[in-house]
Amino acid sequence: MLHGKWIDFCAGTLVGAMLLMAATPAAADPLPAEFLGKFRGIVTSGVGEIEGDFNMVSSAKRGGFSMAWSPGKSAEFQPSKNRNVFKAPDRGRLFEGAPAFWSRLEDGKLIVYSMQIDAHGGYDIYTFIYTPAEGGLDMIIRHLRSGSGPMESSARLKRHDG
Amino acid sequence: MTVERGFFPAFAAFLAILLLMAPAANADDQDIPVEKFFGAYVGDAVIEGTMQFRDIIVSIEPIRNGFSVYTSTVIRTGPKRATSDVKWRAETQNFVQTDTPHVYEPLVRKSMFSEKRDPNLLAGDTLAWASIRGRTLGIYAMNVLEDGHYELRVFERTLTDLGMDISFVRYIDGVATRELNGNLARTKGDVDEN
Repeated sequence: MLHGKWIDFCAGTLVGAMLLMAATPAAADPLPAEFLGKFRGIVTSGVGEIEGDFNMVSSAKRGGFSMAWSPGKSAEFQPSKNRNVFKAPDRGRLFEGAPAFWSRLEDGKLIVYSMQIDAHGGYDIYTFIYTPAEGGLDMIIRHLRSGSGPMESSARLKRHDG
Repeated sequence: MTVERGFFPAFAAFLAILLLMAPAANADDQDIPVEKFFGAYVGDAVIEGTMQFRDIIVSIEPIRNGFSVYTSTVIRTGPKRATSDVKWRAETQNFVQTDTPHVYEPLVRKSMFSEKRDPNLLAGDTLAWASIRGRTLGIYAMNVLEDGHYELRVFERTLTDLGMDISFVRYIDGVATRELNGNLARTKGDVDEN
């Protein structure tokens, strides 16, 4: 009798826990290990503010990840309702030039975005596409800004933390 | 006296430096004021790579602390307007100056129950704004979609001797997916009234 109640209690708790899990938004998968670590390379044909030595450092953080990259940018990407999309918290008013950062995973690639309204009221958007490659990451940078056509460049980033 | 003799040349030099710095500090004075855009314009446009034509009327007017843009678009598929598949749409966009020079934000009418708040781009809101660069008035609208792709719509209106060149480009993740270009003439009536 007691045994039966104990099973009922366990089953009830399990169902309750499952319901709770179903009710909370799905946590994003941690970022695949290929994208975590320290990487560096050279962007030979520069786009926007990115030219020459390029460093990227990333680490897992609270279900998402933090990333810093040249020249002096950094963001903490947090999980969102969509398990493949990560968003950085507000940095201030976009109308006053504060940047917005977000990222997503698709087909084994990590895509990181930064968007800013520039000092002249124009758009200034960078897209970084990282693909795992031997010894590091292949990176494509796209730059879209007011007053010029889309620009693109690429570089091989070598892992240098191992 | 010695102090004064030393002070005035130094002060004069300081003023001279200020004068030299002034043009550099005001490097954006080539941006024309929004008033230059006020008027009515009529013309046509075509979607690049297609035979889809648009008959367009644009009217730009002042509003308090900003401007209003009315755009009427007749969407036709051939040389004639009077066909059974002709479509028409019109919209008015109102923008007001922000605290940041060059940047205008959409006029949002506050209700007594709601606080004015900035759009939250990463939560799915449309971020719209306008700015003037040189002779071009740009109106921009951006969305970050739920799957993380972004869409940017760029409407640019550039003043010309005839009136105004217009261009519209839609970018999805940085790639142009739709492009429209056209030429408008400033209407005479508008010139007479002003």
